Amino acid sequence: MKRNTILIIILLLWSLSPFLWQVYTSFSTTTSILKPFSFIEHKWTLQNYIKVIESNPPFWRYLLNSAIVGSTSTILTLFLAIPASYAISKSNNHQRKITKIFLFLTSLFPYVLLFLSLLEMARKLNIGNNLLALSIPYSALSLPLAILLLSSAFQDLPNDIEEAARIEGLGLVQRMKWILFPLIAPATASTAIIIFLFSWNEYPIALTWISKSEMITLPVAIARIAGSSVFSVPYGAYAAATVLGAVPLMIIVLLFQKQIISGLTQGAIKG
Amino acid sequence: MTLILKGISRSINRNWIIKELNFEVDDGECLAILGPSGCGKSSTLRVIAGLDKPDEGEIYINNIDVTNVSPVARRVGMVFQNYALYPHLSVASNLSLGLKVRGVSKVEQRKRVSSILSVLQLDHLSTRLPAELSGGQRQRVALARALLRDPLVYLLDEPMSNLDAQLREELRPELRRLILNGQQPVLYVTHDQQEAMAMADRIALLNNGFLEQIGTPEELYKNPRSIFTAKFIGRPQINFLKFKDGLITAVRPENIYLSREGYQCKVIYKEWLGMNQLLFLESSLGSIKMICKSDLKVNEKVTVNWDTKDEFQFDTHTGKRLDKAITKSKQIISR
Repeated sequence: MKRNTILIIILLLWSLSPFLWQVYTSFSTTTSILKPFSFIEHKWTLQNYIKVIESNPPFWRYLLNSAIVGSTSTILTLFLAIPASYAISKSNNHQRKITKIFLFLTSLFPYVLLFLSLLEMARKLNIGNNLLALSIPYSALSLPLAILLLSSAFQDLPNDIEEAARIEGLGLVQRMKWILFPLIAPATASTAIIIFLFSWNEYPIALTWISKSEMITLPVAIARIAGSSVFSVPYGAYAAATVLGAVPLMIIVLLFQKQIISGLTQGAIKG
Repeated sequence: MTLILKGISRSINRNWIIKELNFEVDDGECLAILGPSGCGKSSTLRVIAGLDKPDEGEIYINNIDVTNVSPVARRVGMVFQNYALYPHLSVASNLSLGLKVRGVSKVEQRKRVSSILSVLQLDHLSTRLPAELSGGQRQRVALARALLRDPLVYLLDEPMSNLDAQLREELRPELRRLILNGQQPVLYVTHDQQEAMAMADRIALLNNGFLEQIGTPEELYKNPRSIFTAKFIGRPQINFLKFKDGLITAVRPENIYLSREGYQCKVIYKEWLGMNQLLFLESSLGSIKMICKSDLKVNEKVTVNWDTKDEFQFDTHTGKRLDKAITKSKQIISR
């Protein structure tokens, strides 16, 4: 027991320390940042946050942009992934295995290699500088993993339950509504979070597709803050922006904690 | 209301799961589909329910061909082995969901659900989730759901196999009262020959997808047409004795008695069953089981015999029953 506690603390420090460091930096004055842990002369400040929030366009604008792209990508992905997953779960073993291998391979593909060709496509289709258009590549990139997660959730449902519903007179849409959706809700929630996180953090596509400053998403905005001055890096403002950008995510994860964990461990019990 | 199967076959990956099934279940009749696991019992039920398509043959419900009709339109009430209740819905919602999608009004839904709940003595459990119920209670909810379907045919897939022996015995009368005594044909799948004998009017014994024999429990017990049937029906299992090549003689343990003349045996061990005991005997014919009232000791030497009329003769190679006219004098063969 004692050893486990120590290990957990080490693990927590390992994963939390970069973030805690950012929080610490974000509340420090520029001079204090350069001399960390000098407790006597350390000066705390809210100036970094004020600077970030009062910038033009205001910081909440980027949060809103990212939230919009995140939500539309998540909705679009789930809209496509749920029927696909259901179909895969209903196909025969052989087909299912092959499909899953292909999905797995595509989900491993380093998408950064795609961003130039995606940019070319955006130009041809004239969908650059369009916030909603960003959700097209985001959904496409999230789909393989989303389908993998959801199809194993569908597969884990006992067949009998759906068959009982069929016999009782529920058509496909009714079964989805009354039986299947409620039963895969935990998996759907965890999948949704994963998609949302991806689109919230995505940088290269957002950087190349969007150039209007009132339309850029959070990662691009944060990068702009970091590169806003030629001679120095505004570490304080940069840290404040990352903290502000992380807060909404933390709220979401805390709210849906239970669903995420039960969704991610689904299928772990029985093959 | 009747259910008729004509030449129903189904294959998966070119293996026949069920082959050439022909039978008829009449108004209010209960037909048990009996057989070892993997013999195609559940597949037969699924084909009748419309969950799987047969490769060949036709199914008629009330003389209407339903072979290509969806499960919904067939109007069957099915009870699954593991009950298949909707885990996220309360007992009451489990029961009302089907009514709702079939367009029954809210008031009517509530009325029917509460009346069925009281029939099954589940009133106090209506707000519980399936996970919060005991096995027997879940079973009753599953029965209630099938009853609310107001079906033309009842299909029960091993409805009691997940319950312990005592509960099974308690539920049998309830099952009879609610389902078997109705007007609808009932198909009752089970692997337990005693349950089949107790519940069904007729038994269809399946072997490897083929219909081995169909008839009343008494017919199957008294007049088995094959070794398979003789072996499957009746507990303790029938004795198979070999008097000469190509021929197997079978005698039921309950038809063997202690006698002055007959076969010399030694008691190997015994199982005390309460009202009698099951003896395992060793003889020159092989091992013999017999049911006996008197108290015998292990290693005791006894002489046993049986009446020729209680013998069944089977062909060793085909496993089929040989003509009953074949006479055989035990006295000649006995040594």
